[in-house]
Amino acid sequence: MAERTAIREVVVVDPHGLHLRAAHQLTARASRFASRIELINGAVRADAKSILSVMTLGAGLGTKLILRAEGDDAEEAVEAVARWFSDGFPEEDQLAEDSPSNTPPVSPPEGHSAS
Amino acid sequence: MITHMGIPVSPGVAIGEALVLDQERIRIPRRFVSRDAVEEELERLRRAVDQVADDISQNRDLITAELGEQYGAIFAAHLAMLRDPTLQQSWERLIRQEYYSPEHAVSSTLRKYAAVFERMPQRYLAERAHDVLDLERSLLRRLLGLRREELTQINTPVVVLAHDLTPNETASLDRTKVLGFATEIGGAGGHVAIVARALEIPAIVGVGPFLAEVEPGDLVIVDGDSGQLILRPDPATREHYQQQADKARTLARGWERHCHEPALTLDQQHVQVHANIEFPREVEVCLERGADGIGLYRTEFLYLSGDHEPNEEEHFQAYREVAQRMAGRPVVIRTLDLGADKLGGSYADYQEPNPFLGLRSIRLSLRHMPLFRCQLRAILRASAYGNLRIMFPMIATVNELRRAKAVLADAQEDLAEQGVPFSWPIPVGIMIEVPAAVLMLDQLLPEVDFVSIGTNDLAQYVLAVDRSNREVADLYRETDPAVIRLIDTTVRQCQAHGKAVSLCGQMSANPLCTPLLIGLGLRALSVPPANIPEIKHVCRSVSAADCQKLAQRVLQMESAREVEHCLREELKKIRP
Repeated sequence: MAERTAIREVVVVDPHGLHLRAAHQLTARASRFASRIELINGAVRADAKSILSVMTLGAGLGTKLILRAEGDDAEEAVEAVARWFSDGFPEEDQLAEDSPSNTPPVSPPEGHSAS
Repeated sequence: MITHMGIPVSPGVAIGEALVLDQERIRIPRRFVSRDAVEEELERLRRAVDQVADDISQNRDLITAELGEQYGAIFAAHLAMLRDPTLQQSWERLIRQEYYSPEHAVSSTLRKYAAVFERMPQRYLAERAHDVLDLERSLLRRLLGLRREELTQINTPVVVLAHDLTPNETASLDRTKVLGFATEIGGAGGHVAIVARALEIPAIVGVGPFLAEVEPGDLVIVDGDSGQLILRPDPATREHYQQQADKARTLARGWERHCHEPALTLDQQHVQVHANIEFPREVEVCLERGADGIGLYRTEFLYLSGDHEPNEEEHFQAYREVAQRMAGRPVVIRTLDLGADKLGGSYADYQEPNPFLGLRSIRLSLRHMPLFRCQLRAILRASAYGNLRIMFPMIATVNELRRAKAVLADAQEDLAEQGVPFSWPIPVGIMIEVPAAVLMLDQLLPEVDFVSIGTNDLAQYVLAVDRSNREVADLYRETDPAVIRLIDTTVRQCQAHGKAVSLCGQMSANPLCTPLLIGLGLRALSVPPANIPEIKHVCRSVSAADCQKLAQRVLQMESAREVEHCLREELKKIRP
């Protein structure tokens, strides 16, 4: 199956920008998808599954970012992350806790299995 | 003996051996490794990462339990940084392909991130460089097997001295071992100050450079009341502080025996003694020490917890917890009392040359309606669970008060429409902190149910002294006759209008001032929980009639010095 690509523009609506805790939430969400997910702010590209990378975006209030996903669940991933942005970074009660040591926390997508 | 002055942020005196956390510039011994050691070195890095992860998880659990989810979440994010897949890949590549030592790999990658963050124009994002460097330090310590002066592993009582404390370090303070601490940098409103007060650890911040002058194990004294840091005190000074500490302990034990009884003066005047708190969990201590209520619940911690603006639910949870645990006793919640500079985020765009005269407190709330409405809705919702009151800080004009009340009325209508339960009418009060408010009391009082005099800001504004500015801090005296006259006017106006009046701020916790305050007609004081037993004791040792005579004398005095001398003599009569 050919790789699928989805692209969307998202805007930061939190007064504190893409802050530490939000960056953490974002990476936890993004990691649920198999697709490669990127956020792009001008010349800076960030891997949405890496908290440090996301923080290098320097995304303050009002910053517009390009959200781009590549992979079988690209559309679902972009949809979920974009909604999280437009909802103003809602939090989940329980984040995936410490992932086992030294394995990149790429978990298989839940309920998005490609046929 | 060397004495330094800093900003006292948490009261009490600590005498003990110094534990010096220097501003470690950890030296990396080897930059490269041999080809055949690569696997071994990777394993060493993995172990270090696991150990640091354990440390952070422990801190997260500790701080979540002590101070709540909000603080705990910061540590969870630190953990995510440590486990960042991009970071792990970079390390592995540097070690496998470039033959970097793990130390060199860790340091070079994390410092690059720190440099990127530091250049960011938004202050909040730029400050994340500290978090990354904190992580670097922890990893290097583990990798190099440095016997870090572990704050969590202290086994004898110490006084901690440091350039600054990171969130992780502050979190690990064990209050049974850490007698007190002093730092070279930091300000009165920082996290360190707030946490120190909540943990009741005497502390001084912003002392300026002093670490070069002290060796680990030196005897030091941290006087969290006066802001003095004394290194290697001479025998006389040591004796003086030691005696004071012993005396204080003996006295405290006596006071605590009666702290649950009401504070009645010798002539049977009841003085309500309420508590000032910042964290919901402090309610426990308030009840143990016999608080008649919460006279000042500062809500700033919700905004200062570091990384995002609190939502209505977070406000509500905190307020409901306090309301429920106080079980019907009155709780006065003060709305946001911060300067724009403290809020960070987009609010920090205001560069104010003079923040104390700038956009802060109620002015900031009225400028940012969503922020204000969110807090008021949460207080109203929580009012269904206990005896809550709302207090607006820093009111200077009648117009401000009316606008604040209008926002409250709006919030109330919305909740009523939505069928959300709340208690109405909820008593509304104002802080008397701006001299203009004292002059306008006849206009303000008909609009409120109660007032509380905030002496810290009142003194600062009427004396035109910034007490955080060391150049003029000595001009700041809450016992200045001008301040006392403002209190006198306020109390008399309130009596004339039949409105409740109380006093919070440092003055209320100073036993020297208690007889004076009773004499001025105050029958409600709000003090830090630790001071309740002592203030109740002073109340029981005086008669209101004598206090009134004292107050009349003091109101005629010309200087703070004269006032303090007189008050000291008075206190000696009841406590030789």
